[in-house]
Amino acid sequence: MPKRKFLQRLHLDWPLLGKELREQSARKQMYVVRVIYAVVLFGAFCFYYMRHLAEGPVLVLGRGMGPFNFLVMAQLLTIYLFLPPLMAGALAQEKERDTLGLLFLTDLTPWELILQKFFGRLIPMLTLLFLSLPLLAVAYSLGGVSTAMLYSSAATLFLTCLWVGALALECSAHEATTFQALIRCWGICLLFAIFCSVGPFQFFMFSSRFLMRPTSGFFFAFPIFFNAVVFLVATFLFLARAKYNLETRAFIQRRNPFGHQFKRLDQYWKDLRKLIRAMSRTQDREARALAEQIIRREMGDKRNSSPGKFMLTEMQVPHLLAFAIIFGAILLIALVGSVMLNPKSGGAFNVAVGGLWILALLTVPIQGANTVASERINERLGAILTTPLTAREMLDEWLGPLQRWIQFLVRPLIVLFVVEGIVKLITQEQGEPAFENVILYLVVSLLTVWIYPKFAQWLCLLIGFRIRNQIRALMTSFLLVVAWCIIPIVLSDYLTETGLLPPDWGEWLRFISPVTVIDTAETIGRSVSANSHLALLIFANLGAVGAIAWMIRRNCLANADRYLGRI
Amino acid sequence: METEIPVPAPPIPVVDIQNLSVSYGHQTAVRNLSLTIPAGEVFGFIGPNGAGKTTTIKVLATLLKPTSGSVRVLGTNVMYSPQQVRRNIGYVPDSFGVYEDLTVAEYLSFFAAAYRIEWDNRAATVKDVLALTDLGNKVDAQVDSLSRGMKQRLGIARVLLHDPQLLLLDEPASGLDPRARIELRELLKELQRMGKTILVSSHILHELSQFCTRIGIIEAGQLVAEGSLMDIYRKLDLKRTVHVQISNLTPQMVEGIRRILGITSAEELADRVAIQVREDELAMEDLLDALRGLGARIRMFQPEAMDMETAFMKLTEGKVS
Repeated sequence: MPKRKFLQRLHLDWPLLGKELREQSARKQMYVVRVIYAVVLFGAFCFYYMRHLAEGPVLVLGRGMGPFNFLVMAQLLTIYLFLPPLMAGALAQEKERDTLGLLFLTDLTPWELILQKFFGRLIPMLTLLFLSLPLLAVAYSLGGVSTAMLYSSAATLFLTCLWVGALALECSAHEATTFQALIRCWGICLLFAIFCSVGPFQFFMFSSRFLMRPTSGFFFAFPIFFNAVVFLVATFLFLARAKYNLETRAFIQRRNPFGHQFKRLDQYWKDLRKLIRAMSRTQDREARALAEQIIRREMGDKRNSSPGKFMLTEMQVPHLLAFAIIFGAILLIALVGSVMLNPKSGGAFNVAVGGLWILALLTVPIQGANTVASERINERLGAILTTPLTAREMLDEWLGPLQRWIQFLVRPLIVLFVVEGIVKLITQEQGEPAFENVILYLVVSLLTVWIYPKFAQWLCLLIGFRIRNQIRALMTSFLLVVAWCIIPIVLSDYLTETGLLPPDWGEWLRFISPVTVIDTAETIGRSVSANSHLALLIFANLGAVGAIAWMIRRNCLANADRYLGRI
Repeated sequence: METEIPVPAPPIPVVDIQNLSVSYGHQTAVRNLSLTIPAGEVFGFIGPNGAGKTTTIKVLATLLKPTSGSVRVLGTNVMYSPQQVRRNIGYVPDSFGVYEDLTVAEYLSFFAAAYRIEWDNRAATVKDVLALTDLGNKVDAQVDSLSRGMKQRLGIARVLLHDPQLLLLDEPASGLDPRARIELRELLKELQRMGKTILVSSHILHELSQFCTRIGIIEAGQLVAEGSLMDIYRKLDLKRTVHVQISNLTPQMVEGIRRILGITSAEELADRVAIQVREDELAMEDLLDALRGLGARIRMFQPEAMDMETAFMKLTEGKVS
């Protein structure tokens, strides 16, 4: 029997997998991503080698653990960053182009659809990871890395690919669009990372902590085995959930869940304000009429309710207040306590600030680029462009949800900065940070939350204008912002280490990255004396970024008609 | 002893819908719809936008669960054996549903494999459907580069791969230019000749009237009329207008025309006579004979196309479900 017929009889002749691979091989960006990834990985490895191992050919022997560790970590980060966008479109894209129904009509079962889609997106990711094999071989040949470590790190990477891929596929089956699936997946990964960054759960995320220990036998194998079981079970559960979602949420309507929730929240606050006004101004007829309108809208015929009673029973105000007070108190105690315990470190403040900035990094560029791209993909652009609305009015309308989201991220950040500043001032002792340093820290931190999100918003909007393909626009925006954060630091280190750049210049280069600015602001807040040199670099960065943001904004507003295709 | 002559069982209808209702939350899209389509028929499903055509077709295509009622395709209930139903149907949705990064051959080969067509037969099957849909010269073209008409034909080629008995075409002519419409019509006629049963939906009446053997008019989720075109005209008491140029026309002759049985009016215009005929009472050829019998020398005899729009407007009020 010919091999293919035999496979077909066993249902192992996977047509969807073939189609997926064929489709991806037809896309130029896959090759571009591979080349860029290889260049970055090999470049970073060379940099690492030169920085840490270039003392002499003999001295490097037995020091392979460092580069090995570095490579495994880089690969893990790559999986978390690149696998979700790769997998998020697997089923959501079928929904977007109305082809999922056609797949349902074929003889492929839901499990076949899920597995073929899963492997169809996993294989390109694995090919990306295979690029590091020669580098791992170099690290291994330097010595200091056991064969068991090599195998176990490969297993960890593979298992991480499996569960992150399965999670992304579940999100893809759950959501109506690729964008929503991607945000959901990254959101869950971020929560997972936060969960794993505390206490005994750490090894779920980076089991390399255990891999890197030069032990063997039971104590080496047990955590790996335990991790493998957990990851495999998680993979299976996510895939099962994806299959369930595929069957139940195949034809869900596209809608903006953030917008919907924000609208509900808006309505709640508006109603609350009106009701409080009616309660406080009992003689104001207009206020009372408005309150009555709300009660009638919500309760229909059961109108025997006063504004106060309505707030207590229907709007659950006491419950909300109690929750806010308890949650706020716990958060405050945790934050302040962590700083009091160790005043030299930022404690939980740093974790919270870092988490919010990472959330902003993951969402703002993508949402910025999606502002125009989503209008294009939903074919609404033509209709809107022929209305009398000016480009500026359109942009105001489209950017509304993103600006709300930025506000949603920025407000807690501002509260954190202010609370941290106050805590530092209160707990100040001899030799602790000076008052002017705390003020400088507050000013710089507030400027960062004012300037950086706006810069990302306008830059990514411009990218969304110029790149017509949605996924390409989203990925370009995201990668550009990530590159802005990372490349100046890596380049500065490399050029300074190799002597190609004087240290002063290297420091200037380093300060192009917002990560350096945010990190330095935190350092200033903790340092003993004010450092005018660092302050100058920070203000130079903020000034330049602010100016570029203003220019991009001006460009977007002035040329929006042309970018959108209107005369 | 008398031998019993076996009575042949009535043929199973290809589509048998009984009291179908479909609701989306509180909104009812289709209510108590009953419909039977025998084999070999081309059934035109007509209705305004939002009337419930796509919902009904999606239920038949096993992509939507009915809220109540029974839906059978070739005797198989779509709820109990959807997989078996899928083997007998080919569904072309109102959107193209194509993969832009594949070539035409890759696209069809993928679906041939997904329908589990034997490996040995795949290439030949793809070639056959490409020839039938006149896409043979586009085999290596990117799907993205095809025109709308070609994409629609590619969609039909896709559903022919597994040789289904029932084709469900949801608004296939929507957005096509006149040439593409004519090509599509010819393709559907060819499929009809091949014995396929076709259910085709549209909100444009004229395009269906040319090849449908029966039509059903749906509004607000309910079937308001069903039958052959002639049945519907009869039911609505619609008349056909015939324009006749007579070289020796006299007022007496016009009076004579008005007295012919089946003619409701004859209006004398500047260069012709516009005659309104009840076609179920007087066929066109009989009218011609009757005019000749009156001594008319006929220069032009032009029956107007059936007034489908009038029928549609009479039956529907533009309601959506």
